[in-house]
Amino acid sequence: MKLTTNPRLNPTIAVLLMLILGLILTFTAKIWLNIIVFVGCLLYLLACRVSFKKMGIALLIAFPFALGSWLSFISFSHSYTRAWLYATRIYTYFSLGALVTLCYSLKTVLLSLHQHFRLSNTFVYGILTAVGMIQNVKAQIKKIRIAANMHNQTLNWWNPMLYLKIIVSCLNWSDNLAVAMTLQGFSNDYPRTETYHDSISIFQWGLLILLALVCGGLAFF
Amino acid sequence: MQLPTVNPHKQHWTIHDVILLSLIAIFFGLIYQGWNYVYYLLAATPLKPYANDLTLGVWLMAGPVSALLLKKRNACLIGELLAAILEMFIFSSWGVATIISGIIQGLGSECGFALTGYHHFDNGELFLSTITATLITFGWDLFQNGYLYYPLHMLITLLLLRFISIGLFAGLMVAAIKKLLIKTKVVAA
Repeated sequence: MKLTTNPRLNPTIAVLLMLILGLILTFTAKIWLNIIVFVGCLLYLLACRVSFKKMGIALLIAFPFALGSWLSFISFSHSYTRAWLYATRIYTYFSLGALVTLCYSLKTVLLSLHQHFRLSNTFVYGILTAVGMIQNVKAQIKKIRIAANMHNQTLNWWNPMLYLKIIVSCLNWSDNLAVAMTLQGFSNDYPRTETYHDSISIFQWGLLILLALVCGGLAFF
Repeated sequence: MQLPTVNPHKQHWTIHDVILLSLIAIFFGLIYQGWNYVYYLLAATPLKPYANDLTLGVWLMAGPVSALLLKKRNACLIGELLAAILEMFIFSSWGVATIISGIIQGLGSECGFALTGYHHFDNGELFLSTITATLITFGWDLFQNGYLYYPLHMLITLLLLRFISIGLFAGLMVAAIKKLLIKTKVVAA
């Protein structure tokens, strides 16, 4: 889990901003707008004191995709404008995603969405429970492969048998975890004590609407 | 040893269903992580659109597997979306595109099951879902990845490659997984 790093926006607002701006930019063809949004996101990440190392790694990872897009439009569409449009769009998508993933933990985002959009607790706690099992899933895949090797079989990722064995493991875990949660008092459709609270100020709603309108206006008019 | 089974009759979402789909989403996240390396090799070249379409099917497997396991409305969409959310937070290098693509891919596959009224979740519906997923994701990429600007002959090739990839991984492979699940009585026939 990532630690929350001095976020300024409410997590729900950050998620909405990411999705709305992401959708607007999908249907526009303005390079300078991509760059403005990208720079805006970077400034926000700096304000949130996200480490330079994390941001650097994210930008480096994006490079092959941006380069691939750029090269493919030069090769097949013979247009530098389009090449730069789609190369910069990739960086803008990355930076919009980073607004959420580098600033908030998954738990904070889910709890915030539960509070403001009534995302069901069944989904919030179901997802969080499963996320706690990541290392187990990794270890189980190794075990299944080693066990297969002992029978002189190789289970590659394209072998349906690997999926069957993993699904059976997931079913066992989900049975046990669901029972454990029920024993701890979790009930699907009943309200529970809410320990997480955040508030969205009118200023933040206003900022979201303003940014969406400005970005939409610049994109389409 | 008796293998665990899935109860397909409940129409509402239980904590068990969500944990199961999330665990499967994590598993697919790990598969996607490995698949990303293959994609990376091709993505940094002018062949990126071809790499996109050739490899796409693998990213669409989580949805149909979820639908065939739980046999519920929206299981496909939710399974794919969960895989996208977890991929974005835990494994990803894709930013917001992961979530948006996850929704589009989930919707694309879900349409195949929805068109027949979620009756059987059989291979026919699975085949239909590969067609709807191909068309809907391709329509989306016309805008998101700028396919609109590629020449027509290239678009036709890309569409065919996409259908082959989705048909192979999210169709034939998922059908093979389903066959094993039925054979071991993990899901009912």
